Amino acid sequence: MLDRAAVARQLREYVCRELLRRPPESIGPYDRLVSGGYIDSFGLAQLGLFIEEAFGVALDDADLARPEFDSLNEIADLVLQRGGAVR
Amino acid sequence: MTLLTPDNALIGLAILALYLVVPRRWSDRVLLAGSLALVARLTGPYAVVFAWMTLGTWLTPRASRRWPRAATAIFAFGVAANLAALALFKYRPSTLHGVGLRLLGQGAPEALGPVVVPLGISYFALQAISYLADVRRGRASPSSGLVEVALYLLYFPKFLAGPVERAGEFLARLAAPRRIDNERLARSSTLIVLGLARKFVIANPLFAISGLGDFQAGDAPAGLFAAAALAAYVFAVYNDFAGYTNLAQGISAFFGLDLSPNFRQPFFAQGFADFWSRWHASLTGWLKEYVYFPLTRVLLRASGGRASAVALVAPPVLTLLASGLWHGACAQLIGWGGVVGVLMALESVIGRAGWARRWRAIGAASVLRSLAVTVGMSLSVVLFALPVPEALTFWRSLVAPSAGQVHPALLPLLGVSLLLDALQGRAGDDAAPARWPLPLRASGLALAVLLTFLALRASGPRVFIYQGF
Repeated sequence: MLDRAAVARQLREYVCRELLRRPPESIGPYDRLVSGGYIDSFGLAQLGLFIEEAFGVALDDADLARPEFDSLNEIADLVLQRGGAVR
Repeated sequence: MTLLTPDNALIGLAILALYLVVPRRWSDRVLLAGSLALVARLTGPYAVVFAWMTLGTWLTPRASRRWPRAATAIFAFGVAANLAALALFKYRPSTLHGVGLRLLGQGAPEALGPVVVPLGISYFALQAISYLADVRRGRASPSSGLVEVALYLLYFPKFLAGPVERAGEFLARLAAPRRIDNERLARSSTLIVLGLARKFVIANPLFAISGLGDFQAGDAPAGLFAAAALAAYVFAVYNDFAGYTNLAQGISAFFGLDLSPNFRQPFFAQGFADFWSRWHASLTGWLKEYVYFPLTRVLLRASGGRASAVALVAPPVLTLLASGLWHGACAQLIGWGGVVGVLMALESVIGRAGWARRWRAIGAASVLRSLAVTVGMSLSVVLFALPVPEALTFWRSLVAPSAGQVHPALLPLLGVSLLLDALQGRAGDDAAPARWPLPLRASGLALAVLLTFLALRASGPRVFIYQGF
């Protein structure tokens, strides 16, 4: 059973390893990834693809454009809301 | 024709008075009737076109429910019809004029008047497409009433120049309870005063100082003088449009309806993409959602999720070319879109290098980054103001020896604009002065009103630049 912390941890590992090239502890669950300047729109699209593959949820373009699609916790909530599961 | 005339203000007040006294179940109808009256005043005979386009857009989801097996084709037709209307009315008005002349025969020139582009058509078409897309994706109800959909498309505070609202979000706001209390009235008034001040105290004098729009080849300012003319123009366009947005938000808030934010201190941006998420943000958001993300995701999937050169470069260039085309089908605006798109693509490619990541992480360099972005964006804005040959001459003139002198009011006006940005940005709210202590709020707003009145007397009204798009 996935919980918010587990989803956020997986997201953080991906974002830090693939998008930021930084150690995982360099971002927190409430940090604003997009509006805070950590990742750009292209990184956001990459993150969207990762989420679809890793958790088996469908995201549409409007999800990526939402202002709430910003912190690890917010994104984790959306994943759980869509019934995400580890693949 | 502009929204800011005494007659339109009186009509707006009459709509507000009626809106506040009728029962809630009638209030949207009052708002729609008032919006239709103002749209008819602003667009003349084209109001009929808007009415038909509204009806067609509203009917599209209903037709798709009636014939579900043809739903995709019906939605595609609805989107294509709106794009075709935009193309015909915005890009080929002379063709339509010719058809009208042939249909009406003798006396038609007087009946039709001069060739004009109907105001608001660009904003209308984007929002109509948003409605169809949101219904198709389940983000808006296919059974929304005609009054609600028409109000979404024709609501008068945002009709001329946005913000470009997303259908799902705006229709949800229409359905929610509306609160009109002292706090909201204070915010509305503050936004209106600030919007008018940005327009009349900052933007109009800066347009006059700049003279960039009237620049002719052979009559070039040079060096520092040219740079000053460009800075004045860029800040004038910003204050003109940000002022319009605050005005529209303030007027709309009187009706208990919030409009989306459109500007977030663009001259403090840390990159070109960041700049566009802060400038005309509602249009940028629309383009991201309906052009950039679909393109990027298709290309990313094709490259197995890797950041290939095509996936990095093609989407920003094509998206900004679309933005240029939306602003106008002429070489200078499409060229402007292409230049900005290339800047954003370069930023996206270079930004993945290790040294670029380290540069972005240096907090102390944020002012330098903002300055570099502002200079880059300002250079591209030359194409916004001038046809390509004059723009080339102007760019060359920037590195020529200086001639002329900088207007003494330029730096103070830029300073006031940046100070206002800093105040609004720090509070994260354009209506921040509404929360200041009473003496400070009263004296600040009184000063803004006084300066607006004096500026209006000195320079007279001037239409908002973005209603031209």
